[in-house]
Amino acid sequence: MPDNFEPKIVGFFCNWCTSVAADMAGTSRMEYPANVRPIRVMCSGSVDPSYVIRALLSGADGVIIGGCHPGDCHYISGNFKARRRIAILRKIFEILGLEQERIYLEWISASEGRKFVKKITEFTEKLRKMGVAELSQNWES
Amino acid sequence: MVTNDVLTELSKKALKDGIIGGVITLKRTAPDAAVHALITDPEMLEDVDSMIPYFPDNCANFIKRITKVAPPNKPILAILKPCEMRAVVELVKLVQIQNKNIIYATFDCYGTIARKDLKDKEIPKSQEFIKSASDGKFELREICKSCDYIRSETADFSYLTFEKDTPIIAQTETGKNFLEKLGVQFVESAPDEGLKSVMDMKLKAKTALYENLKSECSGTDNIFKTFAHCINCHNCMTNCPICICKECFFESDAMDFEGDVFLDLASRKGGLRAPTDVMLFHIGRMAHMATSCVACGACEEACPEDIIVGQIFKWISENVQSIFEYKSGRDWEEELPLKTFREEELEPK
Repeated sequence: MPDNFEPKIVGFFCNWCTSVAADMAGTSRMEYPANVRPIRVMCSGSVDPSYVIRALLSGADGVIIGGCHPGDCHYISGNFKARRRIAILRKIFEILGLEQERIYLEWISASEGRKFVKKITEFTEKLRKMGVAELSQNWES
Repeated sequence: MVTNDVLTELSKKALKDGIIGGVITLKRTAPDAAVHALITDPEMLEDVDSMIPYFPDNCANFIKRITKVAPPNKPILAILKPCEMRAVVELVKLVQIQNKNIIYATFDCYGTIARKDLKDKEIPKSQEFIKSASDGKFELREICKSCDYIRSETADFSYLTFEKDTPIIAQTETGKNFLEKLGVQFVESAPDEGLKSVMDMKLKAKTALYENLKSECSGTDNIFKTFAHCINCHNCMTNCPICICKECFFESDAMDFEGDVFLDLASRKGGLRAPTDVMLFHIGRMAHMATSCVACGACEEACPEDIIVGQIFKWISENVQSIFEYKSGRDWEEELPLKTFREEELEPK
């Protein structure tokens, strides 16, 4: 692993909460690691597991999904469904021995710019320690 | 010629008496091949042995086809293996089978022999097979050796081949009425001595299989090695009773890019494998259908490259279903894990 390893992170952020939190962090001039590549989605429930798998197979070291707190979903129950889907995906990764810790789900509401910064920093630090994802390096994927 | 197969005899009588309009059963097409067939002529049942240890495909697919436009007005009797019955239950929950006027019959299943192993040989008769199935005379499919669903409780009635005197048990009102009309003797509660001893053997094999998979197929390198021969033909998906999407994500335009994007993808790792997206397909498919996988092994039978895809999916799906204390096809009432949720569960970390 190179000393200055910087993990690549793909973020799927809900339009109604985490994306707004990211905006808020920006307008409040808070700093957070530039490792995350945010993708805005309409709901965490619209993130198909195959998007996460594709990211991890195509070079990402980690994927973070940001959704509304339970009970706050703009579409009533999207985040509950996301929670089940991600639990399934993490289980698959766990059983296949593929580092499920690289998939991260977090509830960050529109007003939680500070939490957004904290969580992104935490996740980046964790991935820095974990090093390059084996899965992202295998050319046969 | 009288066959010894109870379920065939019973369906012959039901056809003759006009209680049912047809019967779905396995019928030989060659000494080493058989297919599922919908039969209406009792004469055509003469040479049928409905419990031969052969798995041409999951019969739930056929029932789905038959009821797709509209279910039949006259009842059809379907003789199924327990794993096929499981698939039927899942497909009813997934609104793919219109569950009307199909009478389901199952039997205690020792397992089946892989189609590849039977090539140019003869499929054994069920009587002969059942007699020596437990002393290892026949090499079963891996997925059958370690099957933990050898008796179905969701069918209308079942033929208990594991038990002494092999009784028929009625499990629903429909089954009871049907058997009464036919004048067939049946019991209403199932003995399970025979089941227990077969199950013990199967569970031991399952533990061994999972341990083996853990050491052989777990970890990045191992999982790539496991699927190294994959030609991305999607046969596993086409034959899977649970893969029901009319337009599959992995066959959609989402897999197509401009040449420059392919170049970029290749340059990230120095090269790009063709066919592309093999791992994405397999892990993605797992994530899509593991909650309903019935471990019938239709995928593995269909694989031209002999990849142990059925065993992997069985292993993964059992673990995935256990998160929700769900077992696909075990019960008509249990809700599909992806259709429902609890407000408090599975909090991240």
